[in-house]
Amino acid sequence: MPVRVRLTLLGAARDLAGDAPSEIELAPGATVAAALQALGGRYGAAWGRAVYDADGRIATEVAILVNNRNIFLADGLETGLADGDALAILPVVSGG
Amino acid sequence: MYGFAGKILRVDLSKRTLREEPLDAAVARTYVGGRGLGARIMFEELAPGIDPLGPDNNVIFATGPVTGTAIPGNTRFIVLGKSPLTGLFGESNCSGSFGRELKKAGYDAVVVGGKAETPAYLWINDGRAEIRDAGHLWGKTTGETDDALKQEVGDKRAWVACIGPAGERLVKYAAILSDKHKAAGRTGLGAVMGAKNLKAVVARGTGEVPVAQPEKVKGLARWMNRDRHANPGAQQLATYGTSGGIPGLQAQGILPTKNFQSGVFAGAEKISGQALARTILTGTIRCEGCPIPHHRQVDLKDSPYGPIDGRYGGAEYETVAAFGSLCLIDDLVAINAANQLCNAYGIDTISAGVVVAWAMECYEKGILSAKDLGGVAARWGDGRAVLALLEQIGRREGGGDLLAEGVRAAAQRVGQGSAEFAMHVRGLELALHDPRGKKGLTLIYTAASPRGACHTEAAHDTSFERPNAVPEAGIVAPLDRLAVEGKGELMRKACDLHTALNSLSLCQQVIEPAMGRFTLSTVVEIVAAITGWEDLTAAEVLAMGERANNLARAWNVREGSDRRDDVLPARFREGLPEGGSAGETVSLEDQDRLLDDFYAACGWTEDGVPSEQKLQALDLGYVAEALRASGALAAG
Ligand code: SF4
Repeated sequence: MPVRVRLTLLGAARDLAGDAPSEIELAPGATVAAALQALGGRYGAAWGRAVYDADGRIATEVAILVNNRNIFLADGLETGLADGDALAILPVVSGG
Repeated sequence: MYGFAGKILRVDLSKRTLREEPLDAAVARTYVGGRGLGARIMFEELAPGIDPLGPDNNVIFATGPVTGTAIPGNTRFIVLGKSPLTGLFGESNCSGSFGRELKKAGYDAVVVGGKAETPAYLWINDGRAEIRDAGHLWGKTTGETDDALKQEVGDKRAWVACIGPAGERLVKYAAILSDKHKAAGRTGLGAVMGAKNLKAVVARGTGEVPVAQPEKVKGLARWMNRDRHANPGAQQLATYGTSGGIPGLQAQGILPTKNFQSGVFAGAEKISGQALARTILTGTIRCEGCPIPHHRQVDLKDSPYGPIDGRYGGAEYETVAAFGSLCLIDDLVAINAANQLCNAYGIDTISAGVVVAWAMECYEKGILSAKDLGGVAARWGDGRAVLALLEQIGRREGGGDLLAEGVRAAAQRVGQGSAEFAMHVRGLELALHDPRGKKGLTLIYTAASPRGACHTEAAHDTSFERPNAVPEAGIVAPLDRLAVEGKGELMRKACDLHTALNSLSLCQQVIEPAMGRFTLSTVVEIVAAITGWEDLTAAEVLAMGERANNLARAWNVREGSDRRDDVLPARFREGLPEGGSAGETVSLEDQDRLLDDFYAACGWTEDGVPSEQKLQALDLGYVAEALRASGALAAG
């Protein structure tokens, strides 16, 4: 069964996506990497540059959260996505 | 000496004397500038227990080695003195060109003591300084003062740092305004100027800041400019300003709402930087040489609240949240009218927003009536009520006389349980960030900050949820924003780094390695190219911050402040009721654990006093001696 993931895009990831869907559908066993690949395919190279840095790592100003928890506190890009999970890509809001 | 003007200007307003003193090269390398240099002057010259509003206090304007160079973010200057709001270490950080002009005029810092008999201003013009009469400016707004002084000195390129009516009337959180919209807002140093009858300092300099490797500095500046132009995060900041972060805070349930009762605000979208850009934003402003024009400008010929003059800028994140979500106001026009009023009167918008939100909660609970508040029914969400209260505060009329004392003093006076929701640490009103959703922020607001609840002591927890945030400082493993474990050690390093940037006078919106804005190695490269300190290392840069922080902490300890004051408001022991951080608290146990870990990481005693060993290691033996003499450290 495909996995349905709730999606929140904010910041540059939102601006470059235009009207983003509130949900995406992924293959079973999908990871964050697969979700980003799907979104990159849909929104193009400029969108990718808002999420990844020049070395292909997640840009330092971007936070990717699964169920409100940063993926780097789980398995990074390999963090798994289950049906009903919430995926958010947003700017790191730090302060300071 | 490269990177420095090499002189400090000393002004005694009582005696009307001015004198120059050389900045020693060893002092420059050890204390650098900004907080480091200012704290040293304060420690040596401000005796414990002095009246912040008396002639014995100083107001210090300090730059750093980067100020006035070609490096983007070279525009910071730091104002310091004993705070009339907290009675402790006072400091505020400001951008714009005032610091650049001061340094190009030949001074790394100006130290103003005494009290002028009648209103005065200081005119610093290319190595010459004089005290001039300001009787005709007393009572004028910051905008009127700025315009009049530029005309009076006959140079439009002069920069003014001045107070408005709030500083004159000793509003305890009065700000110092530069170019009408850039504020050294925190800790009430505008009132210190007011108490000295010092209306303004005006600076103009045509000199060059000498740098050791001019071509290298130019090359670094060009590269940094290109990098920021290409960086999506920096471009977001330029497009939406700092309040472009509001949707992210809302998504994580940490947008301070209704006097910190919640972290979710129904009107969040309406007050966001994105909404501002779509609606009433009329322009953006940048500092000299900066690639990120994130300052907002709102200019409205007419609005329900009267005209809004774009020269007062536009509300940025702290101000938007202070008068917006904190007071349940979702109207950007009202928020920008409040911003204008604060800037014109010279009032810190953060403290003012927290004071007004407290008054609204008091009104809702029946603790304060409209009669107590000069006839204002202080209802949540009422923009007109906010503006009316700000007018009263600026003039100390009606309820303004009470509110002008700051939320701690006002709650003490009013009683009836209102101290429970008076949101301050050590008397400084909280910035617009919620420690329940970023546990390390507890330390930024308490032990790490000599000022009280200021948010600019370090990057916040959310910056450290990624790996290798600052590898040169040993910040490698990601840490959960909600975790308590590990935050003491992390925050010590993060605070040392941030304070080093403060002392170097680098704008942290441009360069903050912890926030992914360049690396610590780049900071070392920049500073070495400017100063010629070729053997400079990342460890020395961090030690510059650590030394300044220990000195400032020791200054507070000598005033009698220690662990007992490192306390968050009681409200944070209640769970956030909804949103992405629902249920989160900072319990007393959490707070104790954070403090214990932080003190240990700093080399401080259990009471939060810098230890003899730590002070000696930082070449602060004279500070240890003073703490022994005051009884804060055991004689040994
Ligand atoms: S980032 Fe902002 S405050 Fe800093 S130098 Fe640039 S415009 Fe000025």
